[in-house]
Amino acid sequence: MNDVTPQLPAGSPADPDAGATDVETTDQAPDGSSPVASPDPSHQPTTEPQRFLPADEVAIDVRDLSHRFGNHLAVERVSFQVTPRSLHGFVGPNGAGKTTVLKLICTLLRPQSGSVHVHGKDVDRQTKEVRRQIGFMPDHFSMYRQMTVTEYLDFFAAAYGLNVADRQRVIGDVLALTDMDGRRDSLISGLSRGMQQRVGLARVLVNDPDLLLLDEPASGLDPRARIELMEILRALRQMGKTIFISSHILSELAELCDSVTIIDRGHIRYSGGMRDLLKQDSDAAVYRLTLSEEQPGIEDRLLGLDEVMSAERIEGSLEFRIRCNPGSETDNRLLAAVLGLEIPIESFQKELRHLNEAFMDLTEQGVR
Amino acid sequence: MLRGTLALMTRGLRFDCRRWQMHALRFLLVGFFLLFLFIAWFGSLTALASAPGLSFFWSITFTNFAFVTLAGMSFFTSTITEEKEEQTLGLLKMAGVNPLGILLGKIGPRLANALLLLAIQFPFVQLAVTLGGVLHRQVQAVYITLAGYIVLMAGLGLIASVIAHQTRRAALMVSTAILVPLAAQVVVYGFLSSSRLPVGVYDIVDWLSIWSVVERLREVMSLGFDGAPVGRQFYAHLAAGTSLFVVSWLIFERCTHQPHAPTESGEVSRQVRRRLRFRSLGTAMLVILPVLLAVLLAYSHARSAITGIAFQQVPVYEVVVALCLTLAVGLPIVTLIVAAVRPTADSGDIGECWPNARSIVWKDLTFVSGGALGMLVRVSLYSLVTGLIAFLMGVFSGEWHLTVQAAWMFGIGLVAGTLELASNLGRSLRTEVQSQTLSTLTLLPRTVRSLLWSKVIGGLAALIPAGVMTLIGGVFVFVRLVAEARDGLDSLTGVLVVLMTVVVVVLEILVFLELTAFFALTVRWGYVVLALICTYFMNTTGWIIGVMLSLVGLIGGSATGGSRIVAILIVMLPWILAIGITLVVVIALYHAIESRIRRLAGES
Repeated sequence: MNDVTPQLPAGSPADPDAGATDVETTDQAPDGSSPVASPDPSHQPTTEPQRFLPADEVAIDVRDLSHRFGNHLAVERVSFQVTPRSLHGFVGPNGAGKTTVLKLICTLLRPQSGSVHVHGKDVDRQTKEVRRQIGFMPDHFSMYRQMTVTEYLDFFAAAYGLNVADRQRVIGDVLALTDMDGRRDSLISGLSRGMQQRVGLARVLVNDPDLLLLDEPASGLDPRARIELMEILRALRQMGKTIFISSHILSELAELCDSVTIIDRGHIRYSGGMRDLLKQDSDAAVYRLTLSEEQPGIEDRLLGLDEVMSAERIEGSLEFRIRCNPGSETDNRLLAAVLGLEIPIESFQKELRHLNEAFMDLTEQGVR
Repeated sequence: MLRGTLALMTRGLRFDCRRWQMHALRFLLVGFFLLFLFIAWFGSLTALASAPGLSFFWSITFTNFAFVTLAGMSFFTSTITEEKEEQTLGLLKMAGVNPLGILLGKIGPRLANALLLLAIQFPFVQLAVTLGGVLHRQVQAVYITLAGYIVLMAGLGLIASVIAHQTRRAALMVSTAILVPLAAQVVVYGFLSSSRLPVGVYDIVDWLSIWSVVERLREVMSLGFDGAPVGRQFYAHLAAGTSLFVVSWLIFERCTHQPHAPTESGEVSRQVRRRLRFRSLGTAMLVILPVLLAVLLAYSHARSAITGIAFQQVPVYEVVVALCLTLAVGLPIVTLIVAAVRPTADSGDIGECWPNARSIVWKDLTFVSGGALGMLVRVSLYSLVTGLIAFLMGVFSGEWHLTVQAAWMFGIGLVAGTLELASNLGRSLRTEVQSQTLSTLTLLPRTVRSLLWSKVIGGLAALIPAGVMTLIGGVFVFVRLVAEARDGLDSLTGVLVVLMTVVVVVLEILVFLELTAFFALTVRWGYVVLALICTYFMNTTGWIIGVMLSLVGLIGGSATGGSRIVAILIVMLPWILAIGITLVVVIALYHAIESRIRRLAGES
């Protein structure tokens, strides 16, 4: 019998920043290099030996995974890791192999070569144990439409072996978390798409899994439902869950995820921290400075600073784009130097690439 | 209109060309013909059949009849419902195709397909005339009869698919429309010899026989047939088929103007589910048992007191009828009272589902087999059928025999139970495929095998009423069968034959169920029918091989002078082979279903 006790956000002992911090440190291989990165799409995926953490220290450990459907090689020698209590994005164009990898992780498909471990357990050999630890939400509504919301959740909770008392508590909790308490007696067939998605998420949570695998959870949802879903995912991360989310909606992933894996044509193009991916290209760090009032000769004064390579005004505004040599102390040194100019600063921030740009850079054009 | 109709017809013919099931059916039909031809050849070779052509033609005719009947229940019933299920009917209307165009465009290719399948046989069946025993006129008459029957089936299928929202319901409607008159006819003919039959019944039977294709086929196949090739049945079926088409056209807009809202019917069944629990039904059963006992003990006395006849002279069948009626009517009333009195749980529906692997049993029993309500309806229905058998036997045959009653109960229970189980199992798997829930279900921490078994148990649980009926009948039938077998053969062989028969029947039922499950995971509709055809084919082939083996064995046995053991072996060999081959098929199908579920779960 499972001891299923989903905790609500208020009672969550998890530190909201802990997952992100973990990811920041563990995304980097012990030698400090990014685990997998092949920014140039024209190149084949990196073949140099990667350094991975032991499988039982990470939530998901995928090594040299290949899978073929007939003559079609869906994924080839895919390797990446996901740290516990993190929110990991999994992005790629249509037909890149995202769903195949997800199905391999969640035991719906058996790996043909390579290995997949979930919390140190081999998905091929310890299937039952893995299934108890995961919750998979497919990219379609996998629902019994003739059931009510409670009947649906009760069925899955019973199938996981929960007793009646536990079921009442858990179903109450997951309905509250997904904000579906008011619709508990509604028929699933009568629910909107967004609500059905919430029921799907509630179903995934009834067995209190450590790892949630979500395939395109926001697909087809209206903006409000999408935002609400993202809020729920944030709450779940605060509860200490590891969330592996495949999505096309890059802007939301950029905000939400601690780390990301980009897959294209069955190959991993990038896997690592989200912030590392969004940093500007390696030859310069770019900052944006906004002044509250005009300062004569400001461009020259900025250029006079040691750290600054170039400074250009954004036309017709009090905003400046400053390019510096990249380095670990650049942020602090530049800020100190700008403050030293004694100019009225409204804002100062590091400019990050958007995930869209990174995605476009790392993936190839066209469909498979 | 014509453009739309032609476009629909072209699409329909293209789709049929692409469907492997259609080609498989044609191959199966060809397989049947070759088999029958082989039997005819074997018969002529061994001089066992006096008219091999006639036996060949008989087999083909009744195979065609079975195919057309099954097609009526499946092939034609999805004509319009498939557009409803795909939600494309509105698009067709928006494209400017009017109802007549849609009906013609949809039924046209199916009707043409079925008629062509019949037409292409015609030249080959002339072989029957060459083999001897059949006239050209008989061949023509049979094919005209079957053509008329196809038109009727197409009309029935079309109107059902216009009225129903789902193919399943349309198939149920057509099956009822076919089976109820046929069953009525069987019952009436069964008691026709009785002089106590009311005169009006003969007229009804005569009228029914015009409609009965079976009667027309019997007439045509009788020796010395010299009637017209086109009989009344053909005109009647043609007129009925056309009328049904016209009615379908007239009601088309009314039945299809609004898309089906599943929420409304779902809401009603939700309310019924909330009130009518299995617990209420269980309590009601406990209440009704003493009532049944009281009826059993008191009926004869009460009847004797009211009518004044002697207690010993009260017919036994009346007690059976009284018991059945009490159960059929009393149980629903008591259940409703218990459900009304019983308080509803505060926690809503939570806790209703049975835990662990039994959760799937609960789900299928509640949502596929109709839940407590379905169970209640079945108990009442089977009780009424049992009572009806006793009543008909007692009133029309004049005497009631326990063994005959038991045989009817056993036969009806076995057939209805098998069909019900196949339907439940098929539907439970089909629902998972359609709802795309196989992936979710297979991710539960249990094996696909255990999942499959849960589904079988879910289907079996719904069979309790049919099972009880079969069991009661089966016990008496088995005792009688063993006694008869002992009389007919020597005791050891007799018992062995009975046992072998039981094993083969059970294995064949298993094959049928597995085929249904496999087809439910493979085709969208008609899986039960397809399984039925395949089982029939397998059974016929097996039976023929068995007969041949017996013949060869008998010839061989008599040639060698044969000891007792050899004689037993000769009798047993076909059975042993049948059991062995069927067992292999059962195991192979089991693995095929398992791997199909795995594959579908990975694909969804």
